[in-house]
Amino acid sequence: MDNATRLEIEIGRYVDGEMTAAERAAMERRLEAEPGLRRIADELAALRPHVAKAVSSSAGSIEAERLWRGVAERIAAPGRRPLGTFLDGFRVFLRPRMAAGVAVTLVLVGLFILFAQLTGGKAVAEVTEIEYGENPDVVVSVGEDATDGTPIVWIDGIVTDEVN
Amino acid sequence: MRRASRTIALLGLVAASAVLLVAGPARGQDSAQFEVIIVKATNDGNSMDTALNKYAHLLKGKGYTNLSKLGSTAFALAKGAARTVTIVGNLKAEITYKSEINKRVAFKCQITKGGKAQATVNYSVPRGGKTVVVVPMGSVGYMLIIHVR
Repeated sequence: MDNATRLEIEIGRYVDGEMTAAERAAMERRLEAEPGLRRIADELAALRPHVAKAVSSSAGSIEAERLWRGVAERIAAPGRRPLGTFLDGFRVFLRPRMAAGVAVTLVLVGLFILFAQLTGGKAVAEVTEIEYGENPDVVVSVGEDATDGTPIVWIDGIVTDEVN
Repeated sequence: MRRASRTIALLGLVAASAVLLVAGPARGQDSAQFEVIIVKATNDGNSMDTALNKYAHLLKGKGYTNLSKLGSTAFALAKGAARTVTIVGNLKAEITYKSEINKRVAFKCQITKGGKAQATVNYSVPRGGKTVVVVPMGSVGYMLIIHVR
């Protein structure tokens, strides 16, 4: 910190009334001896009521209260993160190891799906649904061939007078 | 190290995308081949068709001891298309190819008599698989053996 800056800070403390009596007396002597410093002190003093007014009006506004309440809530709940945008989900790719893990998982899932498709799931046929028609006498039963698991559907109750 | 990991991640993503592109959608064929064999089952002492011996045990429980092949038909169906097969007289079977999921053909077989639906059976069959539908009618029964390819 150079001397000019230090001096400005000291003048600011003087204007704000933060100095001890001895410091204040010494500063007043110096201001009387150096008109340039007096001018700076006067300018700062002239600004003071404006700054005070701006700060008080801002601090009392509803927006300011909301802002500070929001900040306090965020600080109070460090584990909670605000909802991000859609792109936030892709931040994982900024972490190479995690991205590699995701990629490996995707490859494994894809290979599993591919394997399931190529093997075709269960090897034998299956009855998935039975629907009855207009004949109330019809009874449908489903079994399977004990030798190869082929589904056998019995449709009883149909009467025909035509025999081949 | 970070650069290597990033490269692995990038290659992995490319590989994953390729695998998912291949495996993702149900890459079913647009058509399915059906072969329907119509078998008549009786207990009247007719000689057994030796080619049908392997199905005899299915029908013994209903008292049928003799099987004879009435005929067969083979056809291809596009998705959503149907083909009617006459079993005997006005007893018919309508085969409809619905879709293919995971290399399995989904189809339905509706048995009709005089144009009226009696029952409909929905199947999921791997290509190369078969199903059997038996329609017992007193002393005579009919069996459909449906092969799907």
